[in-house]
Amino acid sequence: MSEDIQNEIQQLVKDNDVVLFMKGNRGVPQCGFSSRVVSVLNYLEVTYSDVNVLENPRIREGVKQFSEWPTIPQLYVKGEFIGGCDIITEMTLSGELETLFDNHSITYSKEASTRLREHNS
Amino acid sequence: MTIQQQIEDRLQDAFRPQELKVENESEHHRGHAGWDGSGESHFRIVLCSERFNGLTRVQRHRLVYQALSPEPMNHIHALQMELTGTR
Repeated sequence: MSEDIQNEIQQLVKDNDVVLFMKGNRGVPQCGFSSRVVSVLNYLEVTYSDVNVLENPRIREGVKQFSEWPTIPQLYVKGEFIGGCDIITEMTLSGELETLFDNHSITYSKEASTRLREHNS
Repeated sequence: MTIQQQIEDRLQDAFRPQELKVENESEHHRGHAGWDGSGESHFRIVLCSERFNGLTRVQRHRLVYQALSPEPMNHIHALQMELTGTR
């Protein structure tokens, strides 16, 4: 059972370049921290898949084991766990998120990213 | 002992920090998901320690989660962290 769910998560992050495990969905986030990561990804015009863990308790627990990370949201890029809300926020403001997207050929709006950093510096 | 004190004690022991600030932000989240009325559900940690030198952000956060698990982590709904090394 738990091995199945690990395989399912593995498949999800393999099939989708950018995956956000979150509470609620991108349209209606159910938690402020999930909401903040959604805002960043939307603002940067990144194409991503959102997985609502509140609709699937097995994924909710499974993803925590998968990444050895006890909290939601969790962002994955090309199968790699990048972090939760604090880390994504820090990386956005420092420009590291741009570098990460560049290195993995993930499309995003450079202009929006620059604007975001300038407004928050 | 309050949860805030438990967090401070654990982090003090685990990281011998150069800077440690634990703020209880539970009231800012009144009524939000995870707000349980205990007054100790949401915390923000600012921690600077030599132990973080050379570690990635994910590794630093994991160390803090480990230091606080299983208790008082089981009683905390949200933990915001700003973790830096000394160089």
